[in-house]
Amino acid sequence: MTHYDAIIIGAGMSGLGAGIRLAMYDKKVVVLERHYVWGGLNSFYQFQGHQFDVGLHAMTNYASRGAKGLPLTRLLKQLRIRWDELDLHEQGHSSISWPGEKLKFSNDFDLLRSEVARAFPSQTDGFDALTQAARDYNELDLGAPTLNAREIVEQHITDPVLADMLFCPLMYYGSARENDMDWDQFVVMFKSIYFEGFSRPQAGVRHILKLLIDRYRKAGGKLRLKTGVSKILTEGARTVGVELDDGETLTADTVLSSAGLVETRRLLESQPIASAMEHGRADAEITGKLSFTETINVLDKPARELGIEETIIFFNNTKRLNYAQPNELCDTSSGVICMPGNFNLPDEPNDHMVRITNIANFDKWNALDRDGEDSAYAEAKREWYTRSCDDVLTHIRDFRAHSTLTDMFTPRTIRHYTGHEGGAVYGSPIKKRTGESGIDGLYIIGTDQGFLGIIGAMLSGISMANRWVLQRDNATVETM
Amino acid sequence: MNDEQIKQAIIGIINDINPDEDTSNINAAERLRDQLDLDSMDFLDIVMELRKRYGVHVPDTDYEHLASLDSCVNYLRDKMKDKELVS
Repeated sequence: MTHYDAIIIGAGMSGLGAGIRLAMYDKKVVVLERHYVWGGLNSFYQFQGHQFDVGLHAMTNYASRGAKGLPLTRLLKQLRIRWDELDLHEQGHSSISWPGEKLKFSNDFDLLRSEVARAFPSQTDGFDALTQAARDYNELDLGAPTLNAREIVEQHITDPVLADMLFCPLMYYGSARENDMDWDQFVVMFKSIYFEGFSRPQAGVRHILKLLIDRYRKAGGKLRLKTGVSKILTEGARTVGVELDDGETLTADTVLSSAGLVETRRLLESQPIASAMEHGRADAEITGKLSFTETINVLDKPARELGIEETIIFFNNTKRLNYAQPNELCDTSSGVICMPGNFNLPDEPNDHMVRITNIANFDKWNALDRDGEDSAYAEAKREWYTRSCDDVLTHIRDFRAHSTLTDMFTPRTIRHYTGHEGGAVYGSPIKKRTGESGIDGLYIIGTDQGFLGIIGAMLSGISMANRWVLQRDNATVETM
Repeated sequence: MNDEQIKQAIIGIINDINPDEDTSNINAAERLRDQLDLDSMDFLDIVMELRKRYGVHVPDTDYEHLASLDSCVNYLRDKMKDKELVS
């Protein structure tokens, strides 16, 4: 039987970030991944000769080379990655598009401020006050009380349309709560999108994943793919290891789980101590409700040549934004439109795409029969593909005649690749900011720890590995 | 290791943590934090690297002694006197 200093469940961004940190400091560490590919929520695939990214539209948290004190810079230092190696290219501009109103924004915060002043002149002072409140808030204080962002935003922004417009990108790119966010999560997203902004490597998410996996292996970390964890093992009040799907047992001093809150609890089910985790809360209460479909169109020419200038458009067709699980399979009345080719890339990308994200209902998709081309599932995909494309046409030029290939993924696809219950992209509405699970030696990293986005996910793994393994280790070592 | 080498050891670690940072003009008497982009995570790394490279242990309660290059030298002089500089 092999004993590890740490076992990490899941080879997503947080698991790899934690793994690199521990391997760097000579900890014996293994990352266990159920899937045959790493990346988790941010992965990639090939379909009919085209390269697709899953999850990633854009990396938030852009920072220029040498910018001080920003999350991206912190991440680079922690993983010993040079700025150049990320190959980041900034967005042109993006927009928040509402019936009769549009706010442009870019990586230069002044553009958003001037757009708010133009479209909502009475709200300018309130917007500045909100900006200041976000700037002053220390989102890294893990012990701060949980506040509702809606209440705080409403103190500054009295026009509900502007409030909804400002919330829209932040919710779509990170909120596990319906129609509201925790204030600290709002601040994280506000800074990462409006202050810092979007960028992307030329080759997309696979470039980032390759960097991480190379760094991890070079540091001596071990990665096991197609290796699912069936149980987390405990002795008394302590975590002692895991059992794999094939019955093999691995022991460890510490287990870092990126599986998610409800999913991690499920791995403990057979253990007497399991009730210590989220005691009294039913599975449904800690399972996220927000899942998505993504409709992908491969175009026969660059989106810019069709007159589509934006990098990303966050849109809504109704009076108020409804960021909530729909009663139908999908809600196509709001969403995100991404043109990955509209980043300022040095080379023309191989594929020109329009990707549309909408909120979807996991249970409804999951209930459909999937057997064959005429199945209810295939039929639903065709129907909602059409509706998803039709409902964005007031926000971008009609691209449909130029679409040469389409693909669509659903909440079922998301559950399959991420293992998240309910296909919940942003995990549980309950976040464990300190990582503590309630059981000694078991810590939550990734989506349900609560740092958001790709950079956030990596920082989640890094900071939890620092706090619960490296710092603790340094505190207990004998003075030499 | 003499005092100058201890400074070089610390600067070498900082260069590895942040290769995009210019460390050529550090004022040894001034706090490192005020001159460079270093946060508490980076100080953990300085401590971890001292241990990994030189076998020197800095307990949590002694982090304050790493504030400036001069204070690093004062604190580490005894601990590092028999160690060789790793380049």
